[in-house]
Amino acid sequence: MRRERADLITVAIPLYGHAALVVEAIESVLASRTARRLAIVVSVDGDPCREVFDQLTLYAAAHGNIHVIFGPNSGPGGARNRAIDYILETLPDTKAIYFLDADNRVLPTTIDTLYQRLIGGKAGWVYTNIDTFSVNWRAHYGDHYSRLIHCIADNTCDTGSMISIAVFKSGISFRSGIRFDEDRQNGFEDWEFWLSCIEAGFVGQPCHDTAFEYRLRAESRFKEANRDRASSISFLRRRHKALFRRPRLVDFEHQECPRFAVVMTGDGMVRAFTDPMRVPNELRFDDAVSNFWGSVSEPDNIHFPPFLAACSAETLQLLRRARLLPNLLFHLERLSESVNVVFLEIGNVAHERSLEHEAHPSGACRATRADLVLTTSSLVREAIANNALDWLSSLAQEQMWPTSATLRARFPLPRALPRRSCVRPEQALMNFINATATSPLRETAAKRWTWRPQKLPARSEAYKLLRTELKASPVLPLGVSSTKKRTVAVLVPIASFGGAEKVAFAATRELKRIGFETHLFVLGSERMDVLDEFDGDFDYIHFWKSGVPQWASSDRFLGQDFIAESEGIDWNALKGLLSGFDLVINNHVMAAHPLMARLRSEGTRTACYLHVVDETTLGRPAGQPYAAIAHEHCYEAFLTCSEQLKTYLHSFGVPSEKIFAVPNAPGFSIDAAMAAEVAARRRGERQPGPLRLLYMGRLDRQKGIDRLYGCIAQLRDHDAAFTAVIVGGEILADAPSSWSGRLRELGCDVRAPVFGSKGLANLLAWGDVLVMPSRWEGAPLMIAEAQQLGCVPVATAVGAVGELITDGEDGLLVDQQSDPEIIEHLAKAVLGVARDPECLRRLAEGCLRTASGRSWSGSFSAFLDWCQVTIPGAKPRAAEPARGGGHPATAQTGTARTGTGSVA
Amino acid sequence: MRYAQMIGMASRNKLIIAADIDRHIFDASPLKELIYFVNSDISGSLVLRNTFPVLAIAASIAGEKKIKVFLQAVRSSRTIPDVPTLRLNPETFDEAATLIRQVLEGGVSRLATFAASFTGELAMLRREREVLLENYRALEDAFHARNWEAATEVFAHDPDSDAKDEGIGQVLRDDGVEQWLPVSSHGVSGFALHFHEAGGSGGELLVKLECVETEQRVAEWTVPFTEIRPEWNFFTLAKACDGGRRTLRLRISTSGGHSPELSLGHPISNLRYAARPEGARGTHSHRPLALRVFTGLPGVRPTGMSAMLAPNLLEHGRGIVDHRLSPDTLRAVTDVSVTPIIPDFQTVCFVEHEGAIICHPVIEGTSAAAIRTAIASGTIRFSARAKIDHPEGQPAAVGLVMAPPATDLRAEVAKLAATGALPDPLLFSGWRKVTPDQPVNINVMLDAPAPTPMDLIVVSRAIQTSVDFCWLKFFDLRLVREAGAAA
Repeated sequence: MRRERADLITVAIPLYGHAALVVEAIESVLASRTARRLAIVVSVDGDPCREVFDQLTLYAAAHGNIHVIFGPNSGPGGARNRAIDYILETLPDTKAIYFLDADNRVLPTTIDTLYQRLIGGKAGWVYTNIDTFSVNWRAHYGDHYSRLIHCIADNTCDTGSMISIAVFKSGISFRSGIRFDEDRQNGFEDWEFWLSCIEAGFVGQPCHDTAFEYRLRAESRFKEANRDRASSISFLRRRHKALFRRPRLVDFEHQECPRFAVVMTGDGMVRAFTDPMRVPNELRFDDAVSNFWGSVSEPDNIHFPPFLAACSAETLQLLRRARLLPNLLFHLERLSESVNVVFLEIGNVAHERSLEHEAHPSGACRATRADLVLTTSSLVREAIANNALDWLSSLAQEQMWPTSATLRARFPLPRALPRRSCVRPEQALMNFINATATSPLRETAAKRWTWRPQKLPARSEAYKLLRTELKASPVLPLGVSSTKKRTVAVLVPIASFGGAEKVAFAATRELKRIGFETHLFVLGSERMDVLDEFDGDFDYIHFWKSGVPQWASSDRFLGQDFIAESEGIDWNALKGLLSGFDLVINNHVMAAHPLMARLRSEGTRTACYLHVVDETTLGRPAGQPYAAIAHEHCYEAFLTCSEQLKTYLHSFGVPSEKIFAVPNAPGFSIDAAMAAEVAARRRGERQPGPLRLLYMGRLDRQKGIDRLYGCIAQLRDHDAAFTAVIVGGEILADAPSSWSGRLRELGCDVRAPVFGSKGLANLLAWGDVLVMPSRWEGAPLMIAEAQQLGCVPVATAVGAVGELITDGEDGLLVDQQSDPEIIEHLAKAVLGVARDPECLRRLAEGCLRTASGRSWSGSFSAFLDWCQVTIPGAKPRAAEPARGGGHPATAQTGTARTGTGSVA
Repeated sequence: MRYAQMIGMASRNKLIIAADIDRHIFDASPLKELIYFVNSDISGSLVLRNTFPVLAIAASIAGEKKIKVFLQAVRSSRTIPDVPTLRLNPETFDEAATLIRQVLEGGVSRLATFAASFTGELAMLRREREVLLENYRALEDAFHARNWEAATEVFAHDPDSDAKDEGIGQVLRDDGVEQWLPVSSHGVSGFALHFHEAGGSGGELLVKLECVETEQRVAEWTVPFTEIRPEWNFFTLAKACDGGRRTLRLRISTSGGHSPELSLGHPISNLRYAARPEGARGTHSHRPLALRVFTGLPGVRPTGMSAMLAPNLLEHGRGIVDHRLSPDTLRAVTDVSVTPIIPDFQTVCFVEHEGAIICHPVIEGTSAAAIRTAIASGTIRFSARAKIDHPEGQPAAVGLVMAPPATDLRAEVAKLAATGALPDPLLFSGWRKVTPDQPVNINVMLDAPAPTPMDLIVVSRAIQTSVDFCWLKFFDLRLVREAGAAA
C-alpha cells in the first residue's frame, strides 16, 4: 500500500530590518511540533545588512527545508508576493502558507494547531488572538469572525495567520490569485490583503487554542502606519469600493450581527435578521435569552440584535408580499430612536398605499391592536437593570407609560386575509422580556470570562458602525438581491396619475424586463395611488416624507431655485434609503440632487429624468430642469421626453452624449380584442351622428381651459353638430369662477377625473377628437394614448407636442398665437373634421398607424443599452438586434420628431 | 528533537556563480551542481532564489567579464556582500575545481551545521532572558511596593446548588471534565475547586493544569479521595506562573471508588468557559465549575480553604500530551489468551458504547487482550482503570503489559502465566487485585520515552476458585507522551 505523504505547510518570512531577530523566527519554526512537513521560505527584501546573507547562507546549508529568495526592496507586500510565487512554483504541493514576520515567533504548537483548524473547517484562513512580548499587550479578537467588522471597524486578523493555498490560487490561473498590495502609500497592506480575500468570497476563522509571539517595541511600522490611518483607510475604501456598498455590508450584517430579533407569536421562536427578504437565523427562545445576556457580558463575542420586535409569521409574510417590509423596518428603526416603543398597524385600502405615523406621550391610551411592536434591546436592558419592568410591561396594556409611536401602513390586502395570531405581539414581547429578566444568566452577566481585553466593538453596535461607514442613518435593511439582480431606484416626488410618474414607471418596467430589481421611492409624500398598469413592476416600494420638501430654495442657479446640502434636510436618512443601488433615476425629486455626487462616488450610476420646463404665472421659464442642470456633474445620464428638451439641456452645457431623448408612449395598454374592435370601427364608415369631442385634463390655465371654453362657444355659434365630454377636475382652481359650471352651461357633459386604464380607454374609444389647447406641455402621454385608440388629437403646438403629432396625418396642430386666434383655429379644425367624415377617418387611421410603431421598449432602447454596458454585472441583452454605430444617446424609433415652439 | 519533517534537498543551494558562456566547461566539472549560471543581460529586478554567492568563477576571459557585470548588479541589491572572482587556470582546472568543491561541501557545510546549532541555542537563551527580565522587574516592583500579598484572589465563581448536579461524579469517572480559567496565567499560584460532597475511599482525583496555547503541562495533582474535603479545596502550584500570559485549562477526572461531587457554579453565557465533558465536545451546559483563582506566594493557603493540595508532578516546560486511546485503536483488540479452557462465550472484546475492553478471567490460565502498536512512540506513562461490573462478581487479578513490536504476544503471556514476570524490554505493571467494590488504577511508568510504538496487552486471571459474574472491564486507557513525538 502506498503511504500518503504528510501535508506540506510553508512558512513565509519576509525579511527587512530584522537581521538580528530573524534567527529567532526561523528557530521557532524549526522547533514546531507537527507531523506535517514544514518548509520555510525567507524572502529578503533588499535588506542592506550583510549579516542577513551570512545567516541565511548558513541556515540554508544546514537545513534542507529552508529556502531563501534575495530580491530588491519592494516593501512587505512585494516580499510576501515573491515568497508566494516561489511557493506556488517550487513547492506546488503546499497546502497552506503561514506568514511569520521576521521579528515574531511561533510557539511549538502554533503551526500544527492552526493547520488542523484550517483543514477541519471551510475557512480561507485561520487566525489567533494577539499576544505581544517585549512591550506587553494583548487583545481578544472575538470568538466569531465577522466580515462586517473586519471591513468597517478594524483589521481583525494579523498576517500571522494560516492561509489556505486556495486563496493564492483563486484566480483563473495560479498567478492571478490573491496577492498583497505593493503600493507603498498603503500602510495597511495586510488589511488590504484580507479585504481582497473577503471580496473573493473567503472568510476567516479564529483559533484561540494557540497563539504566536508578536514582538512589540516602543516604536514600530504598525504605529507609523496608524499615524496616517485616515489616508490608509481611505485608500482601502477606494481599492475595494464594491465591498463597502450597502447591499454587501448589509449581507454581512444579516449573517453576522443581525439587526432585528423578532419574537414570533406563533411558536415563540426568535428570528434574527437584517434583511427581511433573506432566510433568518432561527433562535430557540432559550438561546435568544442566553444571547441577550451574553451580549451584555461579552459584547465582542456574543451577539443579540439591537432591535427587539414581536409579530406573527403571517404579518411578516403579508408585509413582505406588499413589498413594503424593508421600508417599514427602516421607519420602525428610525422611530425607535425618538420613542420607547413603536407599534405597527396594518390597514386595508383598495387603491392606494400610505404610511403615516403618530407619536404618543407617556401615559397615552391605545384602543387599537398592533400587528407588530418594536423596541430597542438597550431599553430592555435598562428596564431590567432599573427594575422598571412594570413600567415597560404597560406596553401590553391599554394605558402605557413608555413613550410610543404608531406607524400605520395602509395598502390593498390580498382577498384571502391572513390568519390572525391568537397571541398579541405586545404580550409575546413581554413574555420574552420577562423570561430574560428572570433568567439565571442575569446574575453572572456583569462578569466577563474571556480574560484577554476586548479589542473589537460590541457586535450589537455594528449597525451604528455601518451607519457611520455609509454616512447613513438608518441603513436600509436590504442586502444583495437573492437573485443577484442589478438594482434600480426610481425616485418620484408623488406617485399618482400624472404623466411624469407614469413615464418613470414605464422606465421601471423596461428595466425590470431586462433583469433589474426595481425599487420605487416616493420621496416627500407618504401615499401613492395604485396604478393597475404599472403596479406589478415594482419589486419594492419605499416611502420617505420627513423633511423632504417638494420645492425649496437654498440658493439660486441662473436665477432658479435649487436645494443645496446646507438645507435642513435629514440627509443621513435619505442617504440610508438611497445608498447602494446600481442605478438611481431621479424623476423630479429636487431634494435628491445634492446626494447624487455621494452616491456616484460609492459606485452608483445616476440618471435624471426630466419632462417639462414650466412657466410661472408671469411667463418665466422655471421648474425641475434648472435644479437638475445645476447638478449636471452628478449625473451620468439625463432622460428627456423629447428631442426639444434634449437640445435645451445641451444649450445649458449638458453634453449630448449624456442625454437620452425617450419619446413617450401610451400610459396604459389595451387588450388585443379592444384594439381590433376600435381599429375596425375607426377604419370603417362612420355611423351618422354628431362629432364626439373629448377633453381630458385639469381644468386650469396651463391646460388652456379658457381656450377650450372659447372653442366650444364658437362651435355652438356655428351650430356644429357635436357632443362634448369634459373629464377633469379643478385641482389648481386658478380661475375666479368654476369652469365646470360654465362648460355645463354650454351643454358639455362634465365628468370627474378618470384614472383607471379601462375607463380612460373607454372614453378615448368613444371620442372622435381629443382637444388639447394647452399653454405649455412636455410631451403629453394623452396624445399617444388617444392615437392608440384612433381618437384624433387637436392640440396647440407647444412643448414637444409637435414631436408626437404630424399635422394633418395623425392629428391637427394649432400654432401658438394670441388666445383669440388659437380659439378660432381650434374651432375651425374641429369644424373641419365634424363636417368631413372622410377626413376624420383618414386622420384616425393615421393615429392608429403612428401608434402601432410606438412602444416604451423602443423608446427606452438606447437608454437600456447604456445601462447594460455601464452598470457592473450587466450582460448584453439577448434577442435584441445589434445597434448601428450611431449616436448612443439618441432615440432610434421612427416616431421621434423635431418640433418648434416652447421647450418641452 | 525537531519533529517537522525535512523536505527538499540542500543540494539545490547554489554557492558559486559563473557566466552562462562558461557553462559547457563547468558542466563537465565537479562544481556543476554548486553553480548558478548567470546571464549578464539583466533586465528588470534581480532576484536570486536559493543562491548564496560566496565565490564567482570563470573559465574564460569573456566569462570573467560577464560575471563582473552581473556582480555589479548584485551589489545594488545591497544584501549580498562583495563576491571574490576567480578565473581558473585551464592547466590546473580539475585540481582547483575539486578543491573548491571540498571546501564548500566540507568546510562550509560543516561550519554551517555547527553555527546553526548554536544559533538555535542562542534563540532559546534569548527567550529565557526575556522571561527573566520580565520576572526580575515584577519582583523588583513588588519589593519596592512592599506588596507581598501572600495570596490574592483574582477570580471567584461561587457554587450554585442544584439537585441535578449530583451526577457530575459519574461524568468525572467516565469522561473527565475540562474547564478553562477566565484569567491569564500571569502570577497564578493556585486555584480552588468546590466539592459539595467528599469522595469515598479507594479512588483518586486527577487534576491537570495546562496551558492552552502551548499545550504544556503546568502541574498535576493526583489526590486520594480521602484527602478531599467538602467545600473549597486549594490546589497550590509549586511555583507561580511566570510573566507570559496564557490561557489555563483544567482537566479533571477520577478513578475508582465513589467520586467526590464537584460543585458547578452559576450559569454563564459564554459556553467556551462552561465545564464540558472531555470525551463529548459540544455537549455544553451553561455551567462552569465553581472555582477561585489566586496569585501570590505558592504554598500559602488562602483563608477559607478546607484543604490545600500540593502537585505531585510538575512538568513545566515539557510538552506533554495526555489522551485516551481512540475507539478505532481499541476496536483492533485481539484475543491472545493462554488457557486450556475453551469458554462458551467471548472473553475478549471491545464494547463500543462503553469505550471499554473486556478481558474476562477464566478459572485456569491467563486471559489476554492485545492491541498492536497501541502505545505511541514517545509515551512515558500508560494507565487504565479496571472494574468488575457486577455486584456479585468474583475478584480477579489484572495487569498491563507493554511489548516491543513484533513480539510473539501469546508466548509472552504464557511466560507471564508461568513465571509471574517478564524479561526486558517488556514492561509489566504487576498483578493488582480488583473486586466489585474496589476498582483499581493501573499505571506503567517508563524510564525514558518509548522510542518506537509498542504493543499493549491487558491481562487478567482468577484468584479464587470461581470467576462467577466477574465482568471485568478496562476503562480509560490513556497514555501520556511527549508532545510532538512521532505517533
